[in-house]
Amino acid sequence: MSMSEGPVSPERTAWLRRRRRDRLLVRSAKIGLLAGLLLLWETAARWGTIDPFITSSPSRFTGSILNLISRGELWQHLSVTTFEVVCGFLGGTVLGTLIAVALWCSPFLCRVLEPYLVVLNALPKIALGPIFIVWLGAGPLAIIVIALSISLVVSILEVLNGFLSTDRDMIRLVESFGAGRLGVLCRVVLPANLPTILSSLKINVGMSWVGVIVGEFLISRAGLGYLVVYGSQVFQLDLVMASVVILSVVAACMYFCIQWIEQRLLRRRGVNG
Amino acid sequence: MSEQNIMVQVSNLALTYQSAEGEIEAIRDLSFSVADGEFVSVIGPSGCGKSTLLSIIAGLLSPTAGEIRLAGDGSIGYMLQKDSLFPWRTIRRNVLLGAEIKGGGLRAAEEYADSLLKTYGLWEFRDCFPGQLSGGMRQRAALIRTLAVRPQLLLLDEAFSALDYQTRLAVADDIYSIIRREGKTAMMVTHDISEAVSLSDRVIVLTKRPAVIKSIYDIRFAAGRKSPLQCREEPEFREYFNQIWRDIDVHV
Repeated sequence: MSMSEGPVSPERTAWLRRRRRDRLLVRSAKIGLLAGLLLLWETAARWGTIDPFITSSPSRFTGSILNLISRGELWQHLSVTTFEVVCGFLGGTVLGTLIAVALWCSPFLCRVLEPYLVVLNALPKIALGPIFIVWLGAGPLAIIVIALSISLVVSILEVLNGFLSTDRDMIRLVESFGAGRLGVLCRVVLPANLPTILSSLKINVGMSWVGVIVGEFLISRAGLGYLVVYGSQVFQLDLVMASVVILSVVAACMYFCIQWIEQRLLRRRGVNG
Repeated sequence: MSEQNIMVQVSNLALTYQSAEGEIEAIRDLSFSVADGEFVSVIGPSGCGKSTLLSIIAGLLSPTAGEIRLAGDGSIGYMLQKDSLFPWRTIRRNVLLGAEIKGGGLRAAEEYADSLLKTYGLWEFRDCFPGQLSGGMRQRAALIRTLAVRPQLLLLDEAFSALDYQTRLAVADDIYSIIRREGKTAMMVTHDISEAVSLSDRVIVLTKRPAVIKSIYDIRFAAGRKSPLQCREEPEFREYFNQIWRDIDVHV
């Protein structure tokens, strides 16, 4: 793309101005939508159009959040949940990649285990939750295993699929240099599939959140999932809404962190291999 | 040419694939030799087993029958249609790939690779990633990666086919001059008759599957050997082209 030097043409100035206006419009509409909904919610609750006892309201759940912070409970629940989620998606991705490597190394194993993977993939893993709780006790370990089980099978299939569709020519090239199976794995298959592994990590973050929240629903000891269930049971909708808002903020932050790490790793594509 | 040193001797080579549908006879009883420093092209209708032949010579496939004898240490360098440069490695690390895999004397290999990068104008791009280079530059980097392991024999499998026509002519010229300058023996598989005639000392025409040798042409120009692009201007070029075209016998 060649940029013209010298004085900027009036067409370009107009184009730039139009683009700036468009961006500003989109940004203000984004913020306006949220602010509008919150405002509508709040006024409807104040005027009695909706019953804040059932629906809560922005001012009431904000009060709940501040209350949680002042009593020091927020950090406790937040750290429990975050720890479980991180263990879940890291475990799912690392273990999934290791199993995919094993299956790639042994086509025999791959063919034998294929139907099992397909069935496990189709199975709603949440159904295994009670089993894990019985086996591992009603604690964080069972919750982590529930979260991990949700992401593991998908990770294996996703990463294995990436491994198997590695550029044939790249493999042929390292083979012509005399590389064996291990050499092909380390020099081509793994580095070539770093984007696949990272994208599977990103998907697993979402899966892990689902697993952890469901696990906390079932076990009900601590964590943001516990707060949601507890709040609904004692009919404190303010607490439920406060937990959901915190959840969405934390989950979004985590997603952006992972995305940032992914971009860093893929931009410096020289570090691997 | 029989007085010269033989670099590759292919004797009674045959390859039959097994598949669920049955046997596919890809190559039947091929025999030929390539002399030291010679540039030989293998041409034939598509799907005739040309690339299979190179894979066998490269040791990536075992033949069903026959044998291949390579002179000296038998080291080969393989160049494929796509440059297959690894996007996660810099140009210099790509060029060093072969040396890393072969192991032993990495320092000497680095020095040699660096000297090749300098000679062939890629030194200033050594820390670039492949995505930042043009198609021609990438193909040149791919050749240097192949040369860096000091192969005695270069195998080019449709090495220029992925490039657009203009780039292809320029890159073929470029790669040809580097191969000549380094004094390497080369075997190229192609479906492009002009490319085969303009680059080669000898053209081997194969029949369709099962591949056997249809004819062999010694390419000689009265005006002497020039660059591939100039060869295309010579009066003999058209004659060779037409003969090979007839031999390949394409039916649409």
